[in-house]
Amino acid sequence: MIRQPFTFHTPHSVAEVVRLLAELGDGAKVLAGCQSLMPAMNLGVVTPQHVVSLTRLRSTLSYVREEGNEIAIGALTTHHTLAVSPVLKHRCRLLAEAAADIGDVQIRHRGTIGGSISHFDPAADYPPVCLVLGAKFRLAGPTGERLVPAEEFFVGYLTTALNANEIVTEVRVPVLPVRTGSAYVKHRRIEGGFAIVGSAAIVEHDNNICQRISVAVSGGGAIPFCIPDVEGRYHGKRMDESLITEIAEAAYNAAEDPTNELHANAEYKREMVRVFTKRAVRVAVERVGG
Amino acid sequence: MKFSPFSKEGQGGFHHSIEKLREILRVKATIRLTVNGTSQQASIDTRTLLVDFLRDHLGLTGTHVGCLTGNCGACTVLMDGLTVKSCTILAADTEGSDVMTIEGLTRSGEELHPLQQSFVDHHALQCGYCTSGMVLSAYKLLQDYPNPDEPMIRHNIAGNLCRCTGYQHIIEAIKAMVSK
Amino acid sequence: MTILRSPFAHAKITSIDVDAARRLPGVRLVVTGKDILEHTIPIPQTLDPRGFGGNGTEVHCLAIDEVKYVGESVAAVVADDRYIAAEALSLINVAYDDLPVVVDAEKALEPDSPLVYPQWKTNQMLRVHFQGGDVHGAFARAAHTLKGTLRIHRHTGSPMEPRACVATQDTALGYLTLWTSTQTPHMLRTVIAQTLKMHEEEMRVIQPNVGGAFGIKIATHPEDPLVCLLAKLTGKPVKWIEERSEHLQAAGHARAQVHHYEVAFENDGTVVGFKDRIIADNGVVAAICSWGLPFMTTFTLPACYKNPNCETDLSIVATNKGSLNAYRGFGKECSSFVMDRVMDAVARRFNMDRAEVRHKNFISPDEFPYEQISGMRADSGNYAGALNIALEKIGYADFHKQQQEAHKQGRYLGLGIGFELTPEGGCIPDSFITAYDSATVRMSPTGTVTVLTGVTSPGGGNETGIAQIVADRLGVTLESVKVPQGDTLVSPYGMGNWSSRSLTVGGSASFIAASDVRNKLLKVAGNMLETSPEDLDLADGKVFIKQAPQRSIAIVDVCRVIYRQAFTRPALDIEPGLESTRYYRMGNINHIPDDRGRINAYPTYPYAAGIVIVEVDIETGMITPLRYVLCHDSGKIINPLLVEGQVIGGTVQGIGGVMFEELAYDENGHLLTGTFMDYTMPTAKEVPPIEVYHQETPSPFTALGTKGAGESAISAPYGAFLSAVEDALSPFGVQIHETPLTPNRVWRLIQEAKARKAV
Repeated sequence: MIRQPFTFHTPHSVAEVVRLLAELGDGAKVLAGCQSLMPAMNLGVVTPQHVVSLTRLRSTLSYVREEGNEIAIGALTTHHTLAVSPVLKHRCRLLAEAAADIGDVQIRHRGTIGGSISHFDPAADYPPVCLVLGAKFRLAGPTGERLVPAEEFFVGYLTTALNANEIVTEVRVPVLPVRTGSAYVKHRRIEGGFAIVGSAAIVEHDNNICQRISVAVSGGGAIPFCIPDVEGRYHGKRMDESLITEIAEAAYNAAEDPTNELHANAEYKREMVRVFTKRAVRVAVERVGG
Repeated sequence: MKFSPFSKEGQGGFHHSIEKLREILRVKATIRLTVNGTSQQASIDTRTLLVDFLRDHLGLTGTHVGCLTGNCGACTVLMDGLTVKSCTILAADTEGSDVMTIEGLTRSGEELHPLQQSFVDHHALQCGYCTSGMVLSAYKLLQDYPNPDEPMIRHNIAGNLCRCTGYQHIIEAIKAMVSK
Repeated sequence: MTILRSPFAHAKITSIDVDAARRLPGVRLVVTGKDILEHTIPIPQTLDPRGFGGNGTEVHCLAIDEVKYVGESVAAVVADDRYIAAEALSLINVAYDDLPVVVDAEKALEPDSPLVYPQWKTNQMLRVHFQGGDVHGAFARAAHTLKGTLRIHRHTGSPMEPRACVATQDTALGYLTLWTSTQTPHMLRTVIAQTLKMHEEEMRVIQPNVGGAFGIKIATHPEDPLVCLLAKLTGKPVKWIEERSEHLQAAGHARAQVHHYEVAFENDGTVVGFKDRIIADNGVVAAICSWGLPFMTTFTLPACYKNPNCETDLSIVATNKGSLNAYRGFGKECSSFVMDRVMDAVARRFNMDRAEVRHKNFISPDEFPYEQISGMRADSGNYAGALNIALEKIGYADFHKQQQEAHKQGRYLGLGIGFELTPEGGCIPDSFITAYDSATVRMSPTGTVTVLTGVTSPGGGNETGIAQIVADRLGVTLESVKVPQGDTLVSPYGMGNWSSRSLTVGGSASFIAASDVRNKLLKVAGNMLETSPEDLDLADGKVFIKQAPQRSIAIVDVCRVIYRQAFTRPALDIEPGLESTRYYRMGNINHIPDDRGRINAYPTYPYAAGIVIVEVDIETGMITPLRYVLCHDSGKIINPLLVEGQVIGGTVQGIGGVMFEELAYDENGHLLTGTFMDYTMPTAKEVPPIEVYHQETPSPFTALGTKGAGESAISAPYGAFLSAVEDALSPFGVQIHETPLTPNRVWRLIQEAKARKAV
């Protein structure tokens, strides 16, 4: 039960949201899809004195639009909309794949990409996917808008680059070239549960010669990260099983400090980073050109 | 999320002087929404969850509370045509929405909806606590996909926990609707 | 009512300041443990260990001087609405002085361990020792011995509806009425009335629809008398709706045992000796069923196997956690689980077939009734038959080939056998956990029937089964029989529903009461038809002459005579009225201790074979169950669909228990898995289709031959899954001694096994 009384605000525009947040200061929380914040409020773990609902912005901030070689996604687009989006299916399937497996049907109907990334649980699905895509997030604040790349956005446990009076209004991901294969695989104990480890891979190869590769993992450290220098090291190499093994090894090496969890300790998580990177890259390779 | 609600920090999460508390007005919001086809308008404490509003203010006690963390699905209702967990939605946040609860599946006085009858026929409910949420998830599934196979059925009710039935009779009840 | 709960696992309460809370507008009452002492006596315990030669203590509605577990109730607030009540809670200031915390039951028995209850000078609540035959000799003579350990983790039933109740002092009707999600309305009334120093007749308990229970809602939780007291003191109806996080901390836990076993066996796999040292982590002393669970574990060893040379030594240990509480299985799942491990270990030693070892050691059908060392007396059974049906249905003979084919493709399939003995109808001396119950059958002037039972239903459908029995006995349609349950004012005194007793005991009592009504009908009808009652039968709303069925009268006509013509010839042979209240006492119970001080606490003995095929992903340790076949035998089946519902539900809870659910504590006694985000139960996706087959070996000791099906099937998955995973990983030589089967644990076992092989 929510114990702390709060004032409920229903702004109609981004400008109004930003103004409100500046006015209300630290005691305010932004409510998007509610799937992350509401459980915390129900448990009394988070106790805002002001709740700023973005519901009235849904019509303007819910879209999936192809804009040249990028796809613009409104921050209030739900996981379900992303999962079934024809634009994403053909242009950036990786994001649709991640969205399709978040939580369960009811959570996907309500949860939003902007809300999820703003909350930034390190075990969530969007962060590694956004990292590997090199996504950019449009943030709106009192000083105007800024575009922040994913790797600068995800700062620490439940901490993002958002200032107290900023919100995410848009997520921008690249249109993946036709010759690209991508995959997001995650390891979780139970349906609907958070991932123990997740691995997102994008691969482009020409006749099995690696043209481009990037991999991002969650569960390998305090927060998700891109495997460094993967692209540099493997460009031009033959995309065979031994290369995939090498990439997985690189992921393992990069996962120096996973956090211990009750049912998955650091040693296990590190090994799973290797296993699931292998699987993600393998599937991505298979999917190239198809 | 790795919170312990009963850590020292979590217990009684806020402290105010008695004087300050007296100053805090019971904060209310006015909402207008449609529930089971009827317009509702109410002034409610902002802390009211949608499930509380349905149960306590409207007396629609078919929707249940099981966990308050959005895991169990006993609070599932349809909102603007989509199944959602009403314990994760503030009533104040439902302005203009169209909500359907289990009571709205048929008009009062009518026979059970064929899906509900199928649940009865297949012994797909025992204690009944998860049932309203389960039926609505099944209802939504069949609306979107009239011919789901078993893996699809399991996938689409995975947001509804049941402790009594082991899901099998529920799946059979839903399957029986497919062949109709 | 809202409750302030302790954030500490063990602490002295040095002060509680409720002034600010009391002054908050809208607050009706704030009470602490000391405040309510004058209004209450300690809560009578369902199983007070002191009555059984053990250590115990008083249990109160609220903590008085100390708190002993995180979540223990410390103070209660009644306010006009839940928000004011919550605000008031935050204004209560409690000062605590930390005391040392005990979380590990084995360490708790060490001499230098801190004490949960210092006055005991130990953490041992109770020690139970059973011995039979010549254990020492058996171990000395046997060809082989082995040792093993099994650690069964703490988990719980977690029904979808947490606890909830409303208490109201009704001045018009003169009762204190409690509507509550309970399994035992009468028991609760008796205990609450005593606790509040009232007459039982001043209390009424009504059990409305209950959203699942599984044992958790058997009397008596401290909140039950508390909410009633607060209704009395405020003069207002008071509601308490538990939140899930409270439930997981405080509503009671289960399993939580460590077994150190030793087995003596011969070359052909016959087990000739068995020893088991059991340490059960009870948590605190409580008024709920508590230590009864590990007691039943040791009482039911060695389950369905013949073994005259046995010794079991159980220590029930107090720790700073919420108490154990009844949960489907009631400890019997642990005894079946241990025996499954024993059989698998023996089979492994010779590379013998796991089914064959079980067959070698089963009690055979002609050996019943069979008495185990504890005094447990199994009524009837065809264990081999049930196992064989399950083996055949899962395709046991072909599995090895299937396994090898898969292995060639780099896949690891495994098959595991679990065999459970799940005695039902639990009956503990000098307690309300007892194996008799009541029913009133009343036929109205219009020929419709009301059955009032002392048993209740959490949704398992026993009321349908009971209606069927009575309809059949009285020759009326099912629709004309109603079975309202759960109101102490209306129902005859009974013990509610648990241990699968409702249909067996309640059904049997209903059968006997219905027979009384039937006899009256036949007597009067005989007079009306001028024939003897022995010539008559009842069906389809008619009484008819068996040899000449066209000569009949409508049952309603007989009712009319009985009710309205009580002074005329046909009705004078009987006492007026068409109602009977009867009690049924189960057979095969013995509470008169024999010369070794033993009793038999269970009348009926259902059992089941559960066989699972799993695939293990050796890279990740993930287990995917592919098929589960269950052959169960709960005696005569009245309603197959209802029984199927029970055993499938039980199987899935067992799968949840062995794989997914855990109540984990840190070293300070904080519950780490306090919400459904971390206490994870199976969804429809985790569970394979459960294929159910029946065998019916009636109990010779019940009126209907039924044995009860409510707890069946929850135990077999524990042994079956461990067995299956070991089978899948047999190329590595993995052995599992601990649950839950998380992917991390399985993976770790594979790594350790690989390392051993490499050395």
